[in-house]
Amino acid sequence: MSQQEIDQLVDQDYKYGFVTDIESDTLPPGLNEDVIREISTRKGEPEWLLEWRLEAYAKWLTMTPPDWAHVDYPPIDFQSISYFSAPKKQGDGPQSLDEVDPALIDTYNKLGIPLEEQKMLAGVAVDAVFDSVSVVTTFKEKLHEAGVVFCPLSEAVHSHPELVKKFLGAVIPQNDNYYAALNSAVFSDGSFVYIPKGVRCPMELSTYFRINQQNTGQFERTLIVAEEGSYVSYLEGCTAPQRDENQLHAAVVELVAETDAEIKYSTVQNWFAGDDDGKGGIYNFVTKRGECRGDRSKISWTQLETGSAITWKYPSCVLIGADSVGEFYSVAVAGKKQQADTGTKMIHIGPRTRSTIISKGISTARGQNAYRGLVKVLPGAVDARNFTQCDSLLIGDQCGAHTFPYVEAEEPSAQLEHEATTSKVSDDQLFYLRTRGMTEEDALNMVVNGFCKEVFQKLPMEFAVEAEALLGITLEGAVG
Amino acid sequence: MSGFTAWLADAEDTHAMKAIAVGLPTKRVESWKYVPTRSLARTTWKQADPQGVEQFALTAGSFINVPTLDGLSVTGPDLLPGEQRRLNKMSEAHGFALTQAALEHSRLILTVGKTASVALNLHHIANQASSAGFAALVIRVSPGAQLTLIEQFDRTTVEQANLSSLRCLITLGRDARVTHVRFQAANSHAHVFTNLDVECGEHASYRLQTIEFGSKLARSDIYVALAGKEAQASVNGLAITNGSQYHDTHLAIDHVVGDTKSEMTFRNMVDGKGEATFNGRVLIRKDSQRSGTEQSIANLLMSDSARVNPKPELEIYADDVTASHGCTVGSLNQTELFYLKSRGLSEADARAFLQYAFAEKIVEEIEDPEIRDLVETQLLGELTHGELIAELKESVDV
Amino acid sequence: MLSIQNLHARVGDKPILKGINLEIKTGEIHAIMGPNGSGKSTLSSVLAGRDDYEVTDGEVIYQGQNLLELEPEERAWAGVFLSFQYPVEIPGVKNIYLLKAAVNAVREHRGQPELKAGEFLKLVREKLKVMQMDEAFLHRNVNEGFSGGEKKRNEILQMQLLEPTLALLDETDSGLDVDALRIVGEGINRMRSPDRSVLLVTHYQRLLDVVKPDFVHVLAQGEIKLSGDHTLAQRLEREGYEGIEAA
Repeated sequence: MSQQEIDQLVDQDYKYGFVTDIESDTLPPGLNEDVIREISTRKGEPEWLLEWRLEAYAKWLTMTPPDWAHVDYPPIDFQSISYFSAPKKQGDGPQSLDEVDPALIDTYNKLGIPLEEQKMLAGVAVDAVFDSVSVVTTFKEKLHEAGVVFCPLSEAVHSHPELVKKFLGAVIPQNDNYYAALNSAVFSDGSFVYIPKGVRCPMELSTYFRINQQNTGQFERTLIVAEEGSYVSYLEGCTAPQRDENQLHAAVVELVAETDAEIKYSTVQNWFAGDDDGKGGIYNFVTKRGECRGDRSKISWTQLETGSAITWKYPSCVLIGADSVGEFYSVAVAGKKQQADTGTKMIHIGPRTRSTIISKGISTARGQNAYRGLVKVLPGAVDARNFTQCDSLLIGDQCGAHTFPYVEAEEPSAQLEHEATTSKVSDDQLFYLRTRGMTEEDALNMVVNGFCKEVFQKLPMEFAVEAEALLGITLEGAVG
Repeated sequence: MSGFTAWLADAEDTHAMKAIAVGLPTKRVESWKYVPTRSLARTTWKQADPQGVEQFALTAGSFINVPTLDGLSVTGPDLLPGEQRRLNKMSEAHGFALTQAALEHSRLILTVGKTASVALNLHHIANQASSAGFAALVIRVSPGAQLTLIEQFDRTTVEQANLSSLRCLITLGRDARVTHVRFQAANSHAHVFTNLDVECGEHASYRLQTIEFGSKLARSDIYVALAGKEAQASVNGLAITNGSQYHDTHLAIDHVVGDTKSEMTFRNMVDGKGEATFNGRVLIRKDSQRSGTEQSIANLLMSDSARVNPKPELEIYADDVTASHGCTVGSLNQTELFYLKSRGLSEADARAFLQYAFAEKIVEEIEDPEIRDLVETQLLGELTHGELIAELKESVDV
Repeated sequence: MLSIQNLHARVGDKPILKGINLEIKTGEIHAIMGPNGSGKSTLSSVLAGRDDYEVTDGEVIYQGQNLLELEPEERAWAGVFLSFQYPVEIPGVKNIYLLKAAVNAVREHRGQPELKAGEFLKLVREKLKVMQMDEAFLHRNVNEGFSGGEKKRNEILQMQLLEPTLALLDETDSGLDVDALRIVGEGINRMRSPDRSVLLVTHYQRLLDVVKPDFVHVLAQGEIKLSGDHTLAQRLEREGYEGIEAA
């Protein structure tokens, strides 16, 4: 296949590039204490939360953006970003799907994620975040019966203040890193999930994030607390319309798993990646971390990252409880001029803690894909185990695949294993499949899907299907 | 402030001024993240004069007794533009690199003539208290020439802090071959810094074996550029880190052009309160198609206070390549221990056997029998129960 | 020589041996047969002192001592030898180092003088010949890169050098071709003596054609279900284990 043909095929427009026409209530660009006060006031927050935001802001002012990632972008002008945007609401907001702005529902329909269908098909409660504020929450009753709290964080601040106060920033301190500090100061909204002791959440919980307003930074903040012996599976999906200017997204996700609790957190991230020259696209600077506080607790991160111009994201597990388990399964695709620097941190503190890292990086066109991970074993994490596998696949000769696995081991009884390979899609494999009647593109899809299988298997069923379809769209025309 | 400030102030050149301004690298400098710099900062370092050394050696920042060998000539003093550029790049890395450049006391430029075959044995001898010696060695290996370079960092009896620094450039012409062995057994007050920059021309082959037992603090920065088609590099190393030692190797292999091959194998064995860092980076550039690299890093933690920081990095911009790496951390294998004990070996002997085996996989690769024997003998001295193996070697090896 | 009484052992939470009783007298050869997963290998590993297994009940008396209290190396010194089903590779250690270290460790504990290098080499060469092994084996790393058959021959070579009182041979016939089976079998036969006992653990009868046992026991579900003389092995070969397992 010629380079020209490849270029044509790689040239795949963003399918979800449209702007929903909803009147927005947006703050003018700029960031200072007054803006933070205004955000807090508009959200009707209690005083302690405003103080918390201001404290974070003060810390952020003393910090500098991280420069160690394998990504390259011009400095961000934080004063040119608007820090609050909410769809205009009538009255106190929609009580049912019927009350939701039809334009919004239509947007989701174009994205192929109609709420009603999802409701029926998958039994998924959808807490959709449109720009910064949650506008609809379904299945609340069923969850309420089980004692599960699943609501926008802004609502939880009022309905469950003691829980929010206790856990907000408990896993990711305000000054954890530059973007976490920024989020702590200006976070807009996100989900709050609380699973009481011994409860198995009766359905997969799900939110979809979209970024809509031009020049609007979106700063979600999600907090999930799983009490002793509970279980929850949480799905997060993201898509965004096309824009010419880069948009900053700096989310924070905190998970807490108590004794025998399990949290499964899955992400499909399909934000606008920018055009072929890297113009536009989302800057996705996310801090995600879970603490396995109790014995035998388990946190599992699964992600498919296909979008964003820049992804800077390291969902991590702090394994404190004895026999606790951390997992990270990731497929990251960098095409066009995308840059992905993603991976995980597994911090082994408790005895017999175990972690598994499976990372599959795919680079096409002029994409740069880096796995960056840390496995740290502290003294006393007796018999800790880690297995890490990082595989990279290169499609085309203009892209890059990089692996930066950090290990810090201080416990002699720990056993850590790391393997990594980098290769291109084998011509033999493609040829073999084509002799069996497949088109080159289908053959590539099949090979790449096979490459990602291990990770997709970890996604909840309804997500796995979407993930495979998305991967197919992303790879269309990337035959090398 | 560092223990070099006064000396740097005397040196009065631009590097020195910059070095004073920048200071020693802190934990925020990624490549120096784990390096304990306390003893560097707290000792007042000074220049000493060479004394009491008889062989070809680098001591107190001076090369003495440079041998006269067929095919080897002392050249210079001027550097070639490429060499100057490589040294400049080296000194820009961080504050300590600037210090190394600013305090450089001497520079030796050697050329191995076309198709010549030369064996060179250089001793590093730091035998004076609180003294630091900084030097540079530039070796040009002409097309088709062969060089065996053995560097030994001798164990001296000096009781106080000492430091030796060597910045070394080796350039291999077309078809040249270099076998380079470094054996570092300096005493527990030694601070050893080596910066090695190797450039391989077309079809050249460079092989480095580095064995690190000694010193209080040792840091090696090794950069190998495969700059000519079909050039290849093989680097393997062993560090045994004990007591309160710190060993740090930063190794980078750069596939500048295509059809190049590299492999790196490194083993750390850490006991006591020792800490070892290994950073192995392979870069395959954009048009370096049909290149291949293999990395393998194994780490053995022998005590509760030991610490190891291995990091194998792959940075790949070409698609038609094969690259793989493996890295393990653990203690002695229980099944292997059981096997040996079931054959009647005591726990202590079985452990010594396995430690020896771990190290021997690297040591047995040393081709020169004399240096291999020397390393093996010292290796057994490093092990807590090495006597049994020493006896066995003596009695049944033919 | 060896008396196993009501031996129970488990791995983690999973019970594997559920009350084994077995008496082996001096000079006897016993074969333990059984389907996969019956606990055969667990039995030999427990007897050799592997600590992956937890003995939950019962006792094992070997020559008047409580065998279970001894460390693996103490068992070796006391004359117990285990031939591993999967001999362990130890890269970096020459075979001859292990052989000599093992022989002298065992001799020391038997109050025998240490073998000098010359004596040891003479002895080891003699045994190599028996096992039809090349001297190059001595200078290769322990089991590293050995074929399955070479590993097993190396195990029997070690047994010949260590001259155990009780030899536990775990699936020594697995992975052997016909010739290697004969060599290994003859190696074992050569060790037959009135003051040495052997416990053969095997899945198939074919090794028992070469090394004829005095007694055959069938192990299934962690218990000895049936015992008999060597004809039992032939019956099993014909009829399989199903009938016995159901019993």
